[in-house]
Amino acid sequence: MEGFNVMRTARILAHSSSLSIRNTFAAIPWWLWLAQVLLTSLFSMAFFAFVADFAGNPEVTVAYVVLGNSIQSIAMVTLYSIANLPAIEKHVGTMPVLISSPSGLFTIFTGMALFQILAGFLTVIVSLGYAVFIFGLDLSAMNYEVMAAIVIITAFSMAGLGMMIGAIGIYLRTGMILASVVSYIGLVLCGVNFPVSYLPTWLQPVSYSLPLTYAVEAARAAAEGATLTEVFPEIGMMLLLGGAMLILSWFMLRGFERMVRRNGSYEAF
Amino acid sequence: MNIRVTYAAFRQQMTHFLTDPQWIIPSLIAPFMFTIVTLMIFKDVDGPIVLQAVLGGGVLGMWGNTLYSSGWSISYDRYNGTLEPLMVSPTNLMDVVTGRSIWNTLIGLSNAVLVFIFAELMFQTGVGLSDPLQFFFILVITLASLASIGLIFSAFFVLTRASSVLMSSLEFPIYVVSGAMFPISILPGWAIPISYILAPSWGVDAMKIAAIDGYTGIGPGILGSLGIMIGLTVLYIIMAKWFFRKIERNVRNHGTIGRF
Amino acid sequence: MVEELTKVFPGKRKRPDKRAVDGISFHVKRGEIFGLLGPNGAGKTTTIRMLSTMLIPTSGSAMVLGQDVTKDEVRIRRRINLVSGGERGLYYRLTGRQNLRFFSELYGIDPHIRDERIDRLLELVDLKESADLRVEDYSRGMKQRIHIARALVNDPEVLFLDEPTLGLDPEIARDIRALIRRMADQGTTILLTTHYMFEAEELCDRIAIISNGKLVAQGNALELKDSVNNATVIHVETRDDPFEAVDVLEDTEGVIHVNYDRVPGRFITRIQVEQSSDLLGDVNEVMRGLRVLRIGYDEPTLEDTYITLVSANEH
Repeated sequence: MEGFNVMRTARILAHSSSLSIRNTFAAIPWWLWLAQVLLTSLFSMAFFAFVADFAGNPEVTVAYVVLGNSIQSIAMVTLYSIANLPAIEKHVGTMPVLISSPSGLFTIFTGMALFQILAGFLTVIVSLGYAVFIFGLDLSAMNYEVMAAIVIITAFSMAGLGMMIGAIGIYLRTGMILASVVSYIGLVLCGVNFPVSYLPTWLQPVSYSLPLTYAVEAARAAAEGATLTEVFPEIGMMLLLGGAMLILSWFMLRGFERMVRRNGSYEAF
Repeated sequence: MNIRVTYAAFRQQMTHFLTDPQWIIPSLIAPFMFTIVTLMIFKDVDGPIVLQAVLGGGVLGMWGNTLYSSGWSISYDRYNGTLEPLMVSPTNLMDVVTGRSIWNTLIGLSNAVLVFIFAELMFQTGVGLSDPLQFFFILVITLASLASIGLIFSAFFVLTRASSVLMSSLEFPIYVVSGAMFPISILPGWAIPISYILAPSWGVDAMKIAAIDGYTGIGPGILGSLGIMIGLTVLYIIMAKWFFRKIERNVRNHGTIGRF
Repeated sequence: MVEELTKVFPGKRKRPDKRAVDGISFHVKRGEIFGLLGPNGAGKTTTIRMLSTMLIPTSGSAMVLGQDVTKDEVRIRRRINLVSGGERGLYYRLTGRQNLRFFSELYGIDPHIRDERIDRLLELVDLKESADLRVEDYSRGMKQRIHIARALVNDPEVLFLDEPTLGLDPEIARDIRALIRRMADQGTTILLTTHYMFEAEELCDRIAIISNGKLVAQGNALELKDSVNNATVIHVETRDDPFEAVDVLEDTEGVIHVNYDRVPGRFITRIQVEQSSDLLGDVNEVMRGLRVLRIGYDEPTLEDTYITLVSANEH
């Protein structure tokens, strides 16, 4: 095992991220991809906005829902795409090649994840735009720097969760199914559309072990002008959870590589 | 229409589904989550509105399934290399897709029932249908109209390479404009005509009139809505036929089915 | 029966139109195996797709079983079938038998005949034991054999085979060829494309050589060899690599084509020369300094003929 080589790792990261971009745009033109991102985030937000409007629940206003969904949009893009990466490689049949390369799965998938993180940023900006200009969300009191910090850290923690789900997906034949379930779970569990307190008490601990819950909470505070120190507990929890999940996924991917090499189960994909 | 081909395609789709039934989850997950969220937001509201949400959830479930499984119907053959033998056979592609769509529709119905039962258990809305037979009849017609949209999609998706993207782009807009979870009247003005050209919107309307006391509906009443839905469904089937003929022409002229 | 058959694919985005098949004519007799031979991209697949009604010709006409491929496609489709090389083209989640049954239904085969025929076909392609396994668990050779069985569900009078042995290991390819032979013996007319020379020579009653969308020659293997009787072959076997000599020979007047190959222990160079020229001396001269094992005139093989025809067409 040679030592950690920064340049080499950086090169692999750059290559695998550009590969991921090319993969995305090989099948579809870029503008269609963009149209999908724009339409999907608009209509999923619109759905909940109209439901909130119709329900007239004083706690769950249209403003409440659209802000929550803006943050959730990162999960829809970043979490789903990253969690799905290994499943796609398996589907295409490139997994044995990746495992036999000297780069290590973790580095390769991190590189591929970078593009998805950027896509997540784009989506959240667009979603906030919808929230303000179409659904009348008032962000005049918002602390922009704090919101930006929250978005970046959210993307990081979503990537951590995504990598972990992706690593589990390698073991399972049905990684894509798991990825799609996890990316929607935030809608219910993480205070996106209604307060976590509405959930049955036994479910609430699950909510608080997901980084998105803290992200939404912090974003709501930042929209009302909270400072960095005020949202520090939430940001800290996100960093902690995201970091822990990344480390865990690293061990899982390593362990998986070793397992495959030991029993030669490449055909399992 | 060739009944034997359609039945064979139905059985083929069934076998495909039963060998890997867990693949229903991706088409079910969004409607499931959306229904739970809606019911949560309706927490303090009770009575007919909640019932509406439960019914709406069922419709979302049917829609998600129609979209994904019918959308993939022929694209799968292309991906799998089975389109060639299908084309070389004397069969009409549309008969094959129809058979598959009928199976998908049945799965859509079970999706709807699943969402429905789940919502009932969790939120105990206590559904009491005033006229179950009539309700069931409307439900079946609504399913047929969804299946006919599925036919159009499966043809259309073959013509465009970016079908998977289109599919995921179409899921939520229909959730919004079909009026499954909230009345169409609260939509912005420009969206309402879109609702009106979608057959399921009328099906949802007729179902709600049949199931919910005091629901007034869009306007034409239960028979009127039903009639409009049937008319639109027939129109969809004609469109699908036209699309399939176009596909066949494209394939035979250009050698490829669709480029984007 | 094919007359002046042409297929032009319109160019995409300012790229020029592609003339995949350019005015070819040939006639296949009932019950014979007819081979379309040619390099990749010569137009073999496009031709077979037009004849199997999958593509509409741009101009010219083609009749299959007395019917026009452009207008009477449904009538033709009942009586033909097609196998494309490669593993794709089956429903992987269905068993072999389920695949055959599904495709039988597409042809509206009477259920009684259908089940009996499926059993017979499974026997023919030697897949009786694996009939109820899912196709995804089949090996490559098994998939290829079930493909052929699939193409026989409607008991076709004409069978189109597009590179039926592509990518198969030699043993399986031999089985497939035996199977093709057996079908022809039972009276099926077979039109097959290949770029394996020996396959064409072994199987086909008659062969048409296609290059750049044009038909350059047709006939049986002997006739084809005779058709280029102005060429003869100088066969040289050397111990050393003759690459420099090959370069020189390629530029020598009277040489049509030089082809050289490494086989265990030696190099075989085949130089096609114009019959009138006497180049044996020149070849000897050029090969001087190499350890020559054998040198002399040889009869052209089908491969030599093919190379001559195709390279003449390309220039």
